[in-house]
Amino acid sequence: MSRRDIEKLWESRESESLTNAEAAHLYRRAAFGATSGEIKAATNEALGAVVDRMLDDAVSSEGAQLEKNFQQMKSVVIAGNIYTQLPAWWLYRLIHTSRPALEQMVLFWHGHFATSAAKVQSPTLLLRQNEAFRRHALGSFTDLVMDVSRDPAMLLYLDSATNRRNRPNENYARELLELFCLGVGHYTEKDIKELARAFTGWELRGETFQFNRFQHDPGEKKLLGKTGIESGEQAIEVIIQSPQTARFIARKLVRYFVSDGDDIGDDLIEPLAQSFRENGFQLRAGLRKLFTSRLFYSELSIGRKIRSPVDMAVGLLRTLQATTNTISLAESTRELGQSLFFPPNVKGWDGGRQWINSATLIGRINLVTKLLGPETTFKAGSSEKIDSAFGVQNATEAVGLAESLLLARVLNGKQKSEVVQKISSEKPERSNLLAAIKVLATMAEFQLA
Amino acid sequence: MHRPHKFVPRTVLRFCLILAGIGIGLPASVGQQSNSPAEWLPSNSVLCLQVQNVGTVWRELESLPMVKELLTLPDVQKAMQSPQYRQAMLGKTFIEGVVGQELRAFSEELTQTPAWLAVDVNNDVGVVFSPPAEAFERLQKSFADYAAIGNLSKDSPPFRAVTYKGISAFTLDKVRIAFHAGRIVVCSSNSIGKAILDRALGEEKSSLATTRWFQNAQQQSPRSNANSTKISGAIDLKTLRESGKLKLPTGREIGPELLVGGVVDAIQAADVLNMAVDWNGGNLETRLSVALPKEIPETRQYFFGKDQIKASPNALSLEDRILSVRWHRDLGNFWNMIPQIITDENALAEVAKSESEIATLFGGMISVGELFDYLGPGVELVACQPKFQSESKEIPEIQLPKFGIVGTLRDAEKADRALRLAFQQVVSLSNLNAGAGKYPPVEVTSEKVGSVRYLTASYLQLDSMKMSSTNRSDNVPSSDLYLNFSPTLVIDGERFALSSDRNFAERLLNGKTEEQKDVRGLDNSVIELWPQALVDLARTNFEALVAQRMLETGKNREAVVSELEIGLTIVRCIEKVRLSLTTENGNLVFSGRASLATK
Repeated sequence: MSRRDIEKLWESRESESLTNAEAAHLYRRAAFGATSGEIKAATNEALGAVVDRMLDDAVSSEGAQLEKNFQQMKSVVIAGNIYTQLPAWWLYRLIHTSRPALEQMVLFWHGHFATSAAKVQSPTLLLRQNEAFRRHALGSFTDLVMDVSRDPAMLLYLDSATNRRNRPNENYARELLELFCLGVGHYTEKDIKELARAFTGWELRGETFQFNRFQHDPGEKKLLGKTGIESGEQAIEVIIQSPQTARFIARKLVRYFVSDGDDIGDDLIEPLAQSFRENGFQLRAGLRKLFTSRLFYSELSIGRKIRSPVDMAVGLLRTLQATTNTISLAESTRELGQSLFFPPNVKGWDGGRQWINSATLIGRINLVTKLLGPETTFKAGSSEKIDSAFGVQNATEAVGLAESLLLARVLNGKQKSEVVQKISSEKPERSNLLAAIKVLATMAEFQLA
Repeated sequence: MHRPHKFVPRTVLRFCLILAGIGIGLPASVGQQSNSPAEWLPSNSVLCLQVQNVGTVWRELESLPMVKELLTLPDVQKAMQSPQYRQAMLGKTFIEGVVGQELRAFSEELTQTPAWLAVDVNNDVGVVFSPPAEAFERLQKSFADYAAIGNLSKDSPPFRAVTYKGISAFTLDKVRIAFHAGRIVVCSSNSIGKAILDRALGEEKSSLATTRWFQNAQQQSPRSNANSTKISGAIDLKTLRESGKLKLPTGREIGPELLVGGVVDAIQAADVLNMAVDWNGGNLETRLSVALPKEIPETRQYFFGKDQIKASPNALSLEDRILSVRWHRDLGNFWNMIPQIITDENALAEVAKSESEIATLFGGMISVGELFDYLGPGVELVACQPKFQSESKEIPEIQLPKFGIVGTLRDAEKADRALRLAFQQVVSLSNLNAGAGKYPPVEVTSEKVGSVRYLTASYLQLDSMKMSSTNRSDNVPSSDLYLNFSPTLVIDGERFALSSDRNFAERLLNGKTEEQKDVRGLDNSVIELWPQALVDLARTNFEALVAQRMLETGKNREAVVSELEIGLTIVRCIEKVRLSLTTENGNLVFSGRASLATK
């Protein structure tokens, strides 16, 4: 790809308005989907304003009340000390949140700084980490890494709590370089040892972080070619300032929000990485650049991602303004390979094509059917009222609406008529829209975000 | 005549016809038949029920203040505006049109005279009623009018008039309704209908009344009160057993065996099961009884005692009780008898595995059998409301009920040492888990007050673990569930208690036993539940309940709170529930009683 092409792809569209399909794409990728109303509203204003609102910190009074409810529920999960309820709690939050883009980023950082409840087993510590992701999700990456490095759940998960002066534990240092900031090939074994020395004395006292100066190695460390480093904080600064860190995070964000494909080269990533370097690694600004870029709405992005189980389920519920038994939903997403708070390993979820195999494909179709069943409550009321609430009068309109809200790529005329025919020929459902979604869920197109 | 409305559902119509067929009852003496309806019912019946005066239950329920309160709840009011409710009301109006009076009054009048219901070996059902002559004639005419219409609604099967040996009858799908000699017969199939009418005509002499099992059932029947008994009846266990329709699982698992092993055995041996449902002034009681064998086999002596006279201990009189479970089970005897009682090989393997694990836990110093040998057979498990001092800083977010068991010891001196050893070993194991950071470690303190020895395990909370929501920026407190517990073993001579906390152990040991009221026999096992105390506990932990329901339903807080309010109001309507297994005059009686709140 030529430099000119890359520049063109990173041109901002912030003053332009989006089409319906583009608005639906933005919401599906960045905010777990949208209702018809939200999409319509998004097409009536400039993209920059839409994205700013999406990433804004401001909380409505309704959002504040929701936050209060989330906190009360969190207290109960902690009080009961039932760490297996954590996935259900977060799913509830994802379904109801007034700030879905923020939650999407919290989910991103949860997969990035993966910490599993299977090992940590403390709702308190895991929820503190979750709140830390939420605090920094759209803020400074430097602050986020600093907090994560002192985070008790992470210290327990990667055994840093026993990082002693005379016997440095290299686990966290290795993952910080390999998985969290730089990537393989951009550091040496010596860097790992030096970084582990810098983190000596970073330990836990009860459930809180403490710096134990008696266990800290105060000697000078040399990291990534830089000398004069003494503390863990200085070491983190050096890592963050490495040009590779911005490139690594930019790549990961592009992979998360734009495309699962391997055809996005370093050249294409570089403008986003450069913006991180220039803006002090402020994540909100980077995401704004990404979501307003031509790249985000280009063929390199549209239909180029496979939905994660959580994204698929929460997106469907939010789009239909529905809610469901989140304990049961947590079990379903676990069966499909994504249990929140229980990432499979420190690398997090691989995502992409790994979400789909012969077993999970059937499971995903079954999950959609289940989510449209009796455990789900629709804002519209009973399922008979859904069509009228969404302004749908017949099977053709139902397929059109479901397609525009949920599918990344439009169906061709033949496919569409087959779906309409299937809905019409089978025993009539109480809702054409729900029937259409059930049929669409069996198609490959439905699996794409 | 009332023509059925086109959108009255078919099920409502059928119900209406059966209900109307039941007739407007007056005392049986008004009827034209002097013989018992049992002489009409077929001799291959395996279940019979007599139903009477059930209409009064409706009236009395409606007059209860708690029920009135329930009906004023906003969500209940909302439900009463729903299309489903309106459709139900439409059905009610239709039935009232057919029977010619308001449904509640009709149902009250309907069951003044006992209605007899029988189920035969083919699962066919027949019911015989004796309505007053005027109602009999009115209903017969009304049915004839409907039969003239044919189809009662667009989708319903034809309603036809037929005759059987000169008897006027009607058919709707498989339902048959006949009018004869002042009685109305409603049945579920042609064959049972014919069987009943043949006996009514005197063409068949054998009947339910002539069967041995029915006669035995009449003799063994528990006392019944004409005013309060609404349903009484019996089941022919022997025929059901021999036909393979009654299969009771035995010898599979320890838990169910300890719970109902003796009951299952008694049912296996008995010929007849009697039953009665009483309603009296807000108390609903169901009693099921079977005859006990004259001699208790050795394998069941742990359950009943050798001579059928062993009873569970009397309840402790404690304030704020939520649950009391009392039983007589000689666990030492049971453990010795396991090879004879548990026949399933997998279950036996599980028992051996558990025994081995427990032996390991106790370092081989004490076995399960030895521990059970020390326990007396009468034990009470009791749970009460949690009570924390309001000024205490250490009140857990979720308050669990205080609970414990209290019983007696055999060979108190040796038992004392064994129980203390077991307690210490369990605490040690718990501390190993605490080392993994799941919860705080515990320390054991031993205290002797007079003759009473307390062994208490108290949680040690480090300052670094005390993180209140006020001193952390992320607003994430630590779990404090363990503040509910300070597990305690207390032994005083032959008495012992094992409790969830120290103070409660003391209450258990010092609690006085209640005097037994309304004693009919010896209670082998008793479960008592105080739902209103349960509601109070739910109120204490309301936020936890709300959060749990929000996760389970995904609904918002307001909707969940409203649902819970309805649920708690319904539960509050019940003052007490008592389930008991009693030996009474050579019978084993299972009794369930619910007392409704009167204020």
